[in-house]
Amino acid sequence: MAMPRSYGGLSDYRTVPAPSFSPYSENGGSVVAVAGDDFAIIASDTRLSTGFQIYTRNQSKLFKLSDKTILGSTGCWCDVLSLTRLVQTRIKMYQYDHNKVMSTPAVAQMLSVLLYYKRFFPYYVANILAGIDDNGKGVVYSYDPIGHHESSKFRAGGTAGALLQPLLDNQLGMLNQENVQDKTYTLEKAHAIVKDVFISAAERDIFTGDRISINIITKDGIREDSFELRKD
Amino acid sequence: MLNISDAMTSFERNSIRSNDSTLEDHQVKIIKAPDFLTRTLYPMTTTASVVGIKFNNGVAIAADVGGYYGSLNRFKSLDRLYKVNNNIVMTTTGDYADFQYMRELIQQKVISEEILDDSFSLKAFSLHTWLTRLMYNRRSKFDPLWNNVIVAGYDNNGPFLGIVDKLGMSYEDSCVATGMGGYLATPLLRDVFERGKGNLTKQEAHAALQKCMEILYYRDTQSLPKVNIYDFGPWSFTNCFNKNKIEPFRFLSDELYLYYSAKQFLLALLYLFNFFFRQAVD
Repeated sequence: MAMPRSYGGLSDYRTVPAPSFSPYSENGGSVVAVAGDDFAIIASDTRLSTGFQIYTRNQSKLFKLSDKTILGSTGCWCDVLSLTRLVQTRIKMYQYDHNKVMSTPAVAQMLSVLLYYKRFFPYYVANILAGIDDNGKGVVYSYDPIGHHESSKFRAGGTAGALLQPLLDNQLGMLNQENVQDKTYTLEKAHAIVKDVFISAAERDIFTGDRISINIITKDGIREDSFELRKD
Repeated sequence: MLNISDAMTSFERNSIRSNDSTLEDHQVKIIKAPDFLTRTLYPMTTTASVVGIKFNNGVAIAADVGGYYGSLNRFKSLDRLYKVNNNIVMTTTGDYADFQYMRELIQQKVISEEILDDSFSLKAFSLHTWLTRLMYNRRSKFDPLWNNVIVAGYDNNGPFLGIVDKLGMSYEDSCVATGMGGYLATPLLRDVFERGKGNLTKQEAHAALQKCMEILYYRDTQSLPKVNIYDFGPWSFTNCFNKNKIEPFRFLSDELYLYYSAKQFLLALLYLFNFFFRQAVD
């Protein structure tokens, strides 16, 4: 408020604190990515929110970087917009300089560098990068806000990340299960599990819901899919 | 360093001069205000909610005419629906001075665009993106423009309705609202929009906006029952300046308005009476 308010004689009427400025906000959302032998799936919910307010129910957090690379990005939405625009620009510059499309591992490394460049005023963003590498194999990279990254077979990130990762470990990594022979999974199974984990996340995480937007990356290109979640 | 004018008295000169021995007698040291004093870290004169909705072939937004200084209703007739060009209207919630600053920036952009005279004009989508960058840039300097911006427009790609907040966060949607409206108006607008299956008539959209502004007036202490509505559609391509602007309306009838005013007046009298009575007793 502009002026501290006080009303004479009313002891229980406290002055309104001045709103303080924070350059960050938490806009929620979750991303899940799964890599297979010849495919990668990446999905995000489409709810954009802050606190108890839903800004929009229709905002995918997936950014197509090339025909074989997709970035899923959640967190502070203004940073997401700035970072993804920067990444997209740098990918274009690479293409004009070298006359070839940037490979997924190269994008992965570049993203790490771009994040670390802002080490002391970071992009407040959880990134998951999914795609197929030069050999046609599915790859998933996950990041922390300042550029640390690792490659893995499947990863959940965003507000429901901690909720979903153990479920993926169990259902796709077959962890904590006895006498498991076959640890491989097909595209269909991965697709079904991605849908299931988002349904679970929407039950418990208020920042995840409305709809999921799924992208399936194979050597033939990107296929898009969509699935409704609960909207409360 | 700056040469001070001859008119300045020696008294003033001595009081301004610092002890810096490198300064000549006719020089003064300019002391800048500390960094944090030059930034807007809280809003001063603020404006209230804006609501907007798309309809079958256009888009409409509404805003009340109040300007607030804390809880004081300082200004009662601010027209803050800014018509950028024939296909964009833009307005903000938040600091009114920052809105005026942004309006001047945009005005200059539009003038530069018009000078080219190449039959191209700024589109709502482009302005929205540009504002995203402006806001993000300022927040990164820790010197934000304290506004939520709503951009509405109509062009070859159809209606556009988007929001940018003071951090540079932005999105597009069929129903948007800022400030208190985010909590009170968006659910109503979404309900109307979904019931109409996303295909409202202009009249339905207007009715929804008016209802939202009315409900905001009932619950938001910083709002007025006087509202401007602006809409856009294919018809705004033809040169009809301000034709798509609707006159401010009141949703309280004159009788009700009189009733509320009289009630407030009587309460004030009662308060004063009570006050003097206590004084007398003491």
